[in-house]
Amino acid sequence: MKNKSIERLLCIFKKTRNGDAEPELSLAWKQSVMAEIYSTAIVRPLSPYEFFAPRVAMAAALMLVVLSVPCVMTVDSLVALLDVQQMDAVFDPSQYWFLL
Amino acid sequence: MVEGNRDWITVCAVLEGDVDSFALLIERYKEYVAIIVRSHVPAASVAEVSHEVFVRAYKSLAGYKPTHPFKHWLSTIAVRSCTDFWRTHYRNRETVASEFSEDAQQWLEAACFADSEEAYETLSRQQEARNVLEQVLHRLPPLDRMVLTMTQLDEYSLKETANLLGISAANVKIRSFRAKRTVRKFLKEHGIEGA
Repeated sequence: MKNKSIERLLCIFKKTRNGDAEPELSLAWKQSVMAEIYSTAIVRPLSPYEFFAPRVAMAAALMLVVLSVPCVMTVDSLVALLDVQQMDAVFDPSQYWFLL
Repeated sequence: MVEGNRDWITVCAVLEGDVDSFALLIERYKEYVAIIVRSHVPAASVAEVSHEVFVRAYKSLAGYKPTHPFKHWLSTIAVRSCTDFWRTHYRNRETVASEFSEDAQQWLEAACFADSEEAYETLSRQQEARNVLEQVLHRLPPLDRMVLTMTQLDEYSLKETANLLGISAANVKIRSFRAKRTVRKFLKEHGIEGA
């Protein structure tokens, strides 16, 4: 009972649409489609390799950057530390062994 | 099967560079596409949307696999082109609530309380039927509109609708329920009690 009005309405709408005249597409329409097709290229679907290769390369480049940042920082700190120790050794002869 | 082979041969010819062969596919399926498109978009836009369907089909022709009939593949493109038509159209739509005429109101009341097949037939042929149908569908988002039209008016099954629209059957059910709720709300707004 609750949905009866909707069902009636949809039933009438169905009949309304069934009574629509069949659409006709002219020869000029076909020619306009062909004209556009002549100026359009078919898009070839990508193979799995073509699809994934750029993404894998991008991820690898990103990881390389992410991993190299702490490495560079560690090396930089180490060099700074060695510099300080060398300076200390200059003033403290007991640490000359470090320079050997 | 013969038809499928014939279509596949034509598709292969187009893919090998014989673009003129695509005209054969247009000739074979233009009426079929126009009927699908006509059931979803206004008559004035049928040629434009059908044009779009064939151009899209041509662009993605390399992705067509002969495991399914060409006709089914083309109908999927046609239905999705209609959905895209409404998406574009809705971006610029204006409200039509105030355009609901006295005649349309009377038609709606008569339709909701019609009790015979003859009354259905008479009401379906009146101009107001088309106006009210457009008013109702206009309330729905593009995809819900397509779902309601396909499941309730074109009598596609849930599975067929889901395949053609590229969504899950559960999503079709939800959208169908939501669309019916909107129709019920529309009827209540126009004084149809018990809708």
